[in-house]
Amino acid sequence: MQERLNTDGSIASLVAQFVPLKVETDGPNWGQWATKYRHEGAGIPILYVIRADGEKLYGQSGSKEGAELPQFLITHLRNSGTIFTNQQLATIKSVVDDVNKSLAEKDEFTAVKRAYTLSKLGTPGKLGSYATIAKEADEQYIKLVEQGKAALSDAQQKLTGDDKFAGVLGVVSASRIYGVIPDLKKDVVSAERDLGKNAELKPLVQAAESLDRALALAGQKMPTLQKQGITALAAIVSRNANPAATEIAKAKLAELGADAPALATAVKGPRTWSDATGKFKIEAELVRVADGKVELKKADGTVVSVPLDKLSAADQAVANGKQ
Amino acid sequence: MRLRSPFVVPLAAAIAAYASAVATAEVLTIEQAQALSKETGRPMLVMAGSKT
Repeated sequence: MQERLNTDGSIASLVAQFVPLKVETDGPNWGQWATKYRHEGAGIPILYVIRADGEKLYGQSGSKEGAELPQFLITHLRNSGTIFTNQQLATIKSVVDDVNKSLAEKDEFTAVKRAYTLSKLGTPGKLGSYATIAKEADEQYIKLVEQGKAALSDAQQKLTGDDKFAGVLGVVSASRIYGVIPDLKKDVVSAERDLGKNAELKPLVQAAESLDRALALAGQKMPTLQKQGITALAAIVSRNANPAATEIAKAKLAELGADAPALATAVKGPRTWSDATGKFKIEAELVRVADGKVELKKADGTVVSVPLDKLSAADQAVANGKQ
Repeated sequence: MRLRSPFVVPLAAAIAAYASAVATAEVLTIEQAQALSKETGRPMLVMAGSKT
């Protein structure tokens, strides 16, 4: 049987999914092995299948011959969890490392987005492999789901208190960060729907969305994105449409060492506006945002109207801050 | 092939070791096979028999 395992090409793909090991029954390690893994029957050879978590799946005297051998291997692979290829394990490791890095930088949005890329290998959180790195990926994903649930629950708790805006912002933020997670999507959508139905909370949603977008951009490492976030925060301060949003924007600007009044002035003046593709640009001053359109005044005094959703995400954030 | 520690094997090392481990199964020690199994998630297929 040992020789067939090494040479029979028809079962090579099955054999490759195992870690092969030969233990000598007259060697120094046999006693310890035999104590840990009891077997049935008498005589040698003794065949074992030990799952990666150390669980014995099979341990009996006698070898497997003929068609019995591939069937034996298939049966035990079925009980051994998901077997990933080396390349897939390397992918999982890369994802786990990236998620840890994003979490260390307090960038939950990127962490969740990256963690969810494992859906191409299986169900994130339930990869079902006994490989150390795959178990770590499952634990990491489950932790993110729990964090998302806690964030949403915390936001909903705030909605029942005095600081309603903090609650609305929490729901909006949880939706942006954790909305991609199937386990949370239903709860997030439901929470957002509840906001829309509530006459007291509905008016706060737009301000919360603008602030959430601005905070997310300002929290980015890339200087150009962070600058866009700072500009959007300054616009919120300048507009001062919602006192709570203004205070949060001011606090964030102070944390980033940005000069809010100066930046707000800059937003008021001419700036370069780009469309979503970055292909079309216009130097103009923002006049107003109404009915989903942005009115921009060019240097020659002409005013052009552009659909808000045609602008780049950053410019939409700036424009929304002026609403 | 030498693995640094029986239970703490970096994934890259484990993956690199796997191909040669398959080809030279008999040179793996119990500790090495267990560590490799744990890192890769693959079950161990163990044949116990006399050296002679």
